[in-house]
Amino acid sequence: MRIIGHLDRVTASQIRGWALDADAAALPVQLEVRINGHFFSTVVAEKPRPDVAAKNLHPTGNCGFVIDLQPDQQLGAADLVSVRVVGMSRDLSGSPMLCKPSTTTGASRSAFGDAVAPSQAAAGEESTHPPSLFTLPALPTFPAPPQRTSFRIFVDSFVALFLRTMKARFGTQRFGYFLAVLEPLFYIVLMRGSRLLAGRGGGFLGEEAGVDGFFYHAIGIISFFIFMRVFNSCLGAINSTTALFNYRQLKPIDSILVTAVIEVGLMLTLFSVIVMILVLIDHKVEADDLLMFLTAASLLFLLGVGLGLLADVYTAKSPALRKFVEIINRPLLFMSGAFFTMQDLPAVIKPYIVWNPILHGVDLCRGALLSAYDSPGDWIYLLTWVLASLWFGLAAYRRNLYRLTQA
Amino acid sequence: MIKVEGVYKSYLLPSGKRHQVYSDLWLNLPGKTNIGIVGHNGAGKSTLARLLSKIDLPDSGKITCDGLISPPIGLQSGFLPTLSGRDAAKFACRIRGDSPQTQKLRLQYIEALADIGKFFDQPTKVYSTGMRARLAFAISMAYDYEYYLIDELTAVGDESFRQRSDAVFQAKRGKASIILISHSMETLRQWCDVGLYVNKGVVKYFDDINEAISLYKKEQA
Repeated sequence: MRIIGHLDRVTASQIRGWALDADAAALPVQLEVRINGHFFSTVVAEKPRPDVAAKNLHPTGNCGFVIDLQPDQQLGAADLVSVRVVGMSRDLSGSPMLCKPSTTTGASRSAFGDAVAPSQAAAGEESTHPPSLFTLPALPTFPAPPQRTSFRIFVDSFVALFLRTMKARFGTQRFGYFLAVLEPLFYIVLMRGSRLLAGRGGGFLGEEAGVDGFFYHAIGIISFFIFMRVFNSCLGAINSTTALFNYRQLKPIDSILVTAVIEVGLMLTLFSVIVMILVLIDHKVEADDLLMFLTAASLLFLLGVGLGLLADVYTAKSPALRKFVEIINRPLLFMSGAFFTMQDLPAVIKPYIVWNPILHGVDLCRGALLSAYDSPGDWIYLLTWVLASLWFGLAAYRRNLYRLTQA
Repeated sequence: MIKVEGVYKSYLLPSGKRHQVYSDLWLNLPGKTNIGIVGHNGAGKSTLARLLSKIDLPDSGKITCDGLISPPIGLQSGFLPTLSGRDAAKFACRIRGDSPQTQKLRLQYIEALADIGKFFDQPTKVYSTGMRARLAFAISMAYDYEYYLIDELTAVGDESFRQRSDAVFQAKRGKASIILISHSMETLRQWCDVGLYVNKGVVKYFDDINEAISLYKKEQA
């Protein structure tokens, strides 16, 4: 048997449709009609249906069925009617169908029980199905989700995204953590190597400014990379989470903050590990004013977030501009005091290079940790930059939020 | 009850031109009713789904709804290729602020409903399209919405996936409604009561899904 057919219409007083067996079109099929899952009657599909014949589905078109319901059998608005060929396990297409309330008959009361709720009707209907091959796993009833404050939503999103990003970056690659700190490590070793070749600074393992040479260079390079890595991670953070905006709770700023926090965490961890190793092998390290160092590092972090946010907002939709930003920020490595102190600057370039706020931040970090060095860096100048970049960054973000979230 | 009032929506094309999808769209969709959406490729079905679920905001006009509409459950689900299905499910739980206990129960449900066996703990990049669809479907069904927006998802599923989705819809019937975008007329007829026919930015509402389907078929031919 190859059954074709459709349940066309269910009103309060009538059930109609058509059905035929494509393998034996001449023989009318017998249908059983259930209402709310309970057997109601059978009907033979043999009424003329010219529209079916016109589609060449049936030779004569005598395959329709109509059930006119008696006044005491009227259906109500929530009654569910299902029709299938006798002996078949599947309903006709269009079945089950809810009764459409008809305006002509005033029957608001159903003869099959008072307005059966659709869920009950569905449950009744389901019980008449043959045992399904698949049993639905039971979903336990959860307490109603708490009404979260917007701060709570932010924290939840932040934690979820943080764990996801951490796992994607480090959980799946064997050398993930190592690769992430390779770049600053490389520059620190390079600086020591240059001292070795120049024969200054006591050679590869020598001391500088009264502390171990590795520690000395780690301060400048890592505090510079706090800024650089945070800035670079912000670039592209919006685009990388576009697919995630399906979660309406998630805003682009979440992804920016998550990557920025991961980067600054990485850099500070690398610094701590270097210090711990040096302490273990009894080399001289120093923290003249740790609180001051953390303040300067935080300012560099915030400067990275502010400028990164600003750059990302305006380059998110323009890859060419993004490339340009990436190229012009490369020389910053040599202009920001990662390899030299502010004091040692030649007089020729000093008046120009001191405009660079990163130089101030990096040098303040160095001055805070080393007792032998007092930084000429300007806190007020750096702080002004931080506040201005954050203000412009956040304002640009707020203004373009709509544009950014529209994929 | 979903009300769409005077909605305009356009997208910026890379060439800099704007593609106007909807101009002055008005709709009044009944609640507690399964809605089927038909229309040819590029007619604006998915845009409508994104607008309804508030992932995309209209240029002007507003959309109001008496209940929560799920994000479109489709093939683009934002899974990170290197993370496993379990991680994706955990992420979904965390972002909605589930307590650890709730999260555990929900993960069990998702794993059982997705039924992709050991692949649940494999990175999603090795998944087939069907497996990805199962996972996206299972994650969404673990949460209670008043409206589930399903975008072309059922098309990639096999027979067992179909049975699963049938069983889930059956269980949700009466509590939640389904807004189904599909090219399978069979599925639409089986699940939807009313229909929307989308064509060139015009959305026509029909009290009967069959009328929407026949108009769609007529205009296709």
